[in-house]
Amino acid sequence: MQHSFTPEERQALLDAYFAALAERRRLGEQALAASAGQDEAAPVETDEALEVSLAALEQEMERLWMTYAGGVPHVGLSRCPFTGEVFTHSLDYYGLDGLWWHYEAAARPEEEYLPTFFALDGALALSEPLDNTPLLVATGPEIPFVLPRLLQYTQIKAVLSSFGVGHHQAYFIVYYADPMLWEIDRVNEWGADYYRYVDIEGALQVDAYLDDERDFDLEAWIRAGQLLWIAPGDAEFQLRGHLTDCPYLNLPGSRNPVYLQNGERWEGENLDDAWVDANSLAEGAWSAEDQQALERALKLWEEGNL
Amino acid sequence: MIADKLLSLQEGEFVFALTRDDLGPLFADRAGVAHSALSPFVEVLRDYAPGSGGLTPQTAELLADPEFAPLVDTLAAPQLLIRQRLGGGSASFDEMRVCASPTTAERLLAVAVTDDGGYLVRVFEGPGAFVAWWMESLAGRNEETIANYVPPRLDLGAFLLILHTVDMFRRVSYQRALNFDYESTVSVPVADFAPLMSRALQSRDLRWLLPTFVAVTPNLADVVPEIRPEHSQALADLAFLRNAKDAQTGEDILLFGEAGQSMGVEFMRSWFLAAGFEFSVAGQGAQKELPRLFIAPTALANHFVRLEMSPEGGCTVNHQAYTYPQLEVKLQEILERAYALCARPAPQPEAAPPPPEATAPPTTAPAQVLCPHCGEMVDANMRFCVHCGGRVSAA
Repeated sequence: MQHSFTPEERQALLDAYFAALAERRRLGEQALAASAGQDEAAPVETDEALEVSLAALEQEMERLWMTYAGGVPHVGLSRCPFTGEVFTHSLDYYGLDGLWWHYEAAARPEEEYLPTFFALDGALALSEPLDNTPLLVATGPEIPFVLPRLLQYTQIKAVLSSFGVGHHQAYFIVYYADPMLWEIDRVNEWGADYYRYVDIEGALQVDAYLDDERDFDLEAWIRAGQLLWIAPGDAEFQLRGHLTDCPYLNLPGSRNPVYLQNGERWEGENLDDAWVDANSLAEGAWSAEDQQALERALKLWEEGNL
Repeated sequence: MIADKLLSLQEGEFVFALTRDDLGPLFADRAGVAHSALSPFVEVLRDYAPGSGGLTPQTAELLADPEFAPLVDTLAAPQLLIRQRLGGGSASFDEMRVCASPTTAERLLAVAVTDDGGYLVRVFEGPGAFVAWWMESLAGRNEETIANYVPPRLDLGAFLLILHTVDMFRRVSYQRALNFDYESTVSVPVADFAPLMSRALQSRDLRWLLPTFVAVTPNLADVVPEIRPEHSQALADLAFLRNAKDAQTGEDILLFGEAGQSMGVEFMRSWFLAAGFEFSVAGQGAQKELPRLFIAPTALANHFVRLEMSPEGGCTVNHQAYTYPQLEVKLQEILERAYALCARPAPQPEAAPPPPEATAPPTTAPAQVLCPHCGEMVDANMRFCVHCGGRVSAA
């Protein structure tokens, strides 16, 4: 899809994707049922036709995923406090049911990053009714915050702005660096379990990192010049460094990360714990033995013997 | 004077003294080199009639000095010239010119006028050494970040209004102090704001920020700004000023907002100097790649302003409130870029004959050292690591 999708095109893509997802789950359960009760030592007999159907569904889902990702609009979200350039990024602002928000496999197109871009984080104030999506959505805390781990470097500044996503209020926290810092972990893109960046050689890289220390006392960071803000609805993205009339201070809402799935909302640090494990894994703490144990447990779970 | 600061030498560094009357005989008669418009001595050399002057014995000796002799060509016709004007706050107007050419390797030659009308030529062994001296001599020594109330890409007209607002805060504060008035609200009548700005610009009084900006920023006259209504609106949007009525007289007044008060107090209490930079590179094409700068150090920040020309002919400013290390990194980055522009070979026409073999010596890449914090390789002349931000060498 060369152009940004219209709301109707988006809905048609999502309807087709979710229908395929439901069918794949149904076929997956059918395959599981077919293999139930068989001798563990014997090879699992599967219905060849079922496998063909599953493969076709996977292919169709991938095609829909790619088409969706190519149609996500790019919008101006922020402005670099060092160069004054406007920062644009893909965003499915129609609602949280879009694949852009699929935490475990966010469908996002290639971005054109500013040379000073460092990281994109965010928060979202949810409003009723909640979006009903079968996919896990991680919207972060309900109120804006900053990451002291990043702002401890004087060459990093954050810019806070807001944007409507469906009937919710989204807060973007974009980090910029000048000169660039290459050796420290960045932070996962808002709503995704990875982050992307252009490395010192100019190559696109993907990595993962999540912070569990957030600071919601924005006043101190604004006063220190490390955090700037853009007024809601300001089409010029004028950067402001003053506290007077700043609309982002002392907002009500949860400070815990919020998750959505199937119309349900929950919050807490449980997933954070999993994220911490993921970070440990990325650092090489996950051994081959751990992997084998996990695979054994998954096999038992699939067979209903756990 | 800036010439006095050039005399603060480190071990192994050189400074040479020249009299004004020696310049023509030295460059035109004895050395026989032609000068260019980028020579730091261009005004004197341009007016000199060859053979009309004599050389003092001290300057004649310089030509035989192995440290000075190689500098003559660069001083007469450099590839890079940086004009730096100084003044403002408590400093009187002064100027320094810094030149370089690939023929003198990465050396930068700084020239300043002395009290008696002579010249000092100080040799810096590269952009890093020059920046280190500049920072030590002129920069504000702040390590903590402060709020930057002036966003980047602001129209020059709006920026001039901001500078005037800072001056107005100072002016009103001084007037209140003279009147033993510490209770009234700090404000300025709306009717006074524009006329006082006009008077300030005409005054060239370097005790005030706006006239200083105009005086030390080179060639500001070619970007004459237009003050438009949206520029006044920016003052309100950015919390510099807000409209109000005087409670007693009903007069329209301007109250100083958070940004106006903060910058007003900062500049009233601790502004001591400003510097303007203009870079010129010999040849065509490189000029537009180089910025014009204005730097105003205070006790809280090094206010760094880069003038950016738009293709439509307008001018915007990018203002940053830098810490000492941030300014040091930025100045070094700009100087290295300027030097690279002057060192790069000029574009050759396709049918041009091959260049003669004996050309300027190739410039070598700077040596690299290990960052003690992250272990990455960084240029030896960098003071801060580009990978982790840690200090690489002692200040």
